[in-house]
Amino acid sequence: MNRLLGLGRLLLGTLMLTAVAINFANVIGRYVFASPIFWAEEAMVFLQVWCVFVAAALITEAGNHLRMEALESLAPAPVRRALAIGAAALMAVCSFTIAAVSSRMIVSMIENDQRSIVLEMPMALPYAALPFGFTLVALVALRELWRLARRRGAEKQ
Amino acid sequence: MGGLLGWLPAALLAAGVPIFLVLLAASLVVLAFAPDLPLAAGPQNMFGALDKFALMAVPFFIFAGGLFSTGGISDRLIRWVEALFGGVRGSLGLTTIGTFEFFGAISGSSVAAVAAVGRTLYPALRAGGYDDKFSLGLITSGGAIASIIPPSILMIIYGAAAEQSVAKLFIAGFAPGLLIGLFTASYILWYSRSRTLAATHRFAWARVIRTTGDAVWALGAPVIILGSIYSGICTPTESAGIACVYGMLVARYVYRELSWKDIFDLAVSSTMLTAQIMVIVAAAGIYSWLLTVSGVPQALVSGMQALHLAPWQFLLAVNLLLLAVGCVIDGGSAILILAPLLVPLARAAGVDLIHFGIIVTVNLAIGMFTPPFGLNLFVSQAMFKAPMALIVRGLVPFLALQLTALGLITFVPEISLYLARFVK
Repeated sequence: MNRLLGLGRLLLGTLMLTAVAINFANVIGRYVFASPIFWAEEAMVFLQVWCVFVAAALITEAGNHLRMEALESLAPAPVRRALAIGAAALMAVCSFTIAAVSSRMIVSMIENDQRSIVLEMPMALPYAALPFGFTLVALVALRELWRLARRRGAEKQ
Repeated sequence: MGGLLGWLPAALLAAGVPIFLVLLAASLVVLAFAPDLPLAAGPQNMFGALDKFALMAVPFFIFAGGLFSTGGISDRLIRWVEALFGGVRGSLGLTTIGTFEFFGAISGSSVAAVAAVGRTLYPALRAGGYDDKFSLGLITSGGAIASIIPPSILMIIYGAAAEQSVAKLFIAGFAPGLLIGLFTASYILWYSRSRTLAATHRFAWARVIRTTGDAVWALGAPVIILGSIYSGICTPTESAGIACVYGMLVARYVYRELSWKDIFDLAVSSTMLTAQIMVIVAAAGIYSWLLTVSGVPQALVSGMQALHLAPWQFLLAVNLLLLAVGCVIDGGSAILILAPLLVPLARAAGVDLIHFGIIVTVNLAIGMFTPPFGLNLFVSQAMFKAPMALIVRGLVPFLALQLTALGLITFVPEISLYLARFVK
């Protein structure tokens, strides 16, 4: 799992720098060679989709999702722990749901040979970021749930 | 369905559940119990929310901001501004606010501005005789300017959510950003005269020329970003990508302050920072679609029309709501949650949506440093090891100044719209 998340970081940096390079090449192509890269915008958007859903797993692992802590921080420790367990369980359930539903959508896209407008790439490829990313998020959430449950068990003993 | 989309997210938000999960869970529950809505609408709307080229500007500007603040560009910018204002009483305070204005023109992030400017200028302000309370208040509140002076991450998110031109929003943000700067500068001048603070040094053309030479690459950044947008060469997104290449080349080969490994690590951390917002954008895609199909915005518009509110009353109510929300939720998330509800109301009230975008941005920029939970408060607390009570006391006059400026920006639309009219 940790190795997978490490690969995720490598993928994020590579995708971001690739998007920067495509954007630069497109602008230079348009003004210097009068030949813009017609697929640049679509490719960058698909790279962004992959970046977001891969990064979502890394953010979940680091516990860095944006949230409103104002009221929760006022609660006593046992309530906060219960809320953390609830949030991790909710994260796992919702992420598995999105992963399962989007996987079914991808199968249907492959069967119908659905392709993107400009690149004419199979739409299953950019959409695959959803099941990939959300499966990772769900696994990370389950691991967090396991950690919280074990800590609670150890405290009871 | 509308009720479920209201109380469930509110309860989850209060319980400290991540904001993206709040929107996702509420939307999935509604989809599960609505027989006529397919569950596949969930992933489809999540993908659709991110399938917008304009949003690519967010990761690009965050990456560029990281390159500028760690690659030696912001330090040179500070020395250049200091050379310009050094001969005036209150010069260090003026340098701080001037640097926030310039840093705002190369980075759209309030937090990045507080960190980059505060790192150098907070110790300088203290050494220059400014008291701790004033210095903390100035630095913590100054970050708001970076969110308002273009490029602005908040404006990009509002532009995508409300389907408004980002280039128009950017140019509309200039005068409000300068207005807040002028208000703050006036207070700095009054403060420095009342405490007889000395000028840093005598103004000298030689110093200005030397620091200009040193900062010429740093000064090129806002010229490239804003020049390429308003000359029609690039879209805001393309301009943000060009700024990344410029930042990489300057930081690596001109100032030699970053290695390629540092740049790669910055690309990773920028993508992670962006994804914190974008994953909410994706979840808000389903949530706002469900709000629309369940007729919530239309019901709100009818309800508001029944109240017969004048536009100024509506704008006052929006300001109070956004200031309250901005204290507890980050600006990007607040826009994504509230835009589907507030934009139809603003349209129905006859408010120009570019002007409305600036009002939203200024409110949420102020929210970034408003107690108890504005993010910049915690940045300052961590960076300067200062007690929260002292930061909050220091913020009071700056908050009052920015609220006064907000009042003018809200009720004098020309401040925002005059320049925007020149953009097609």
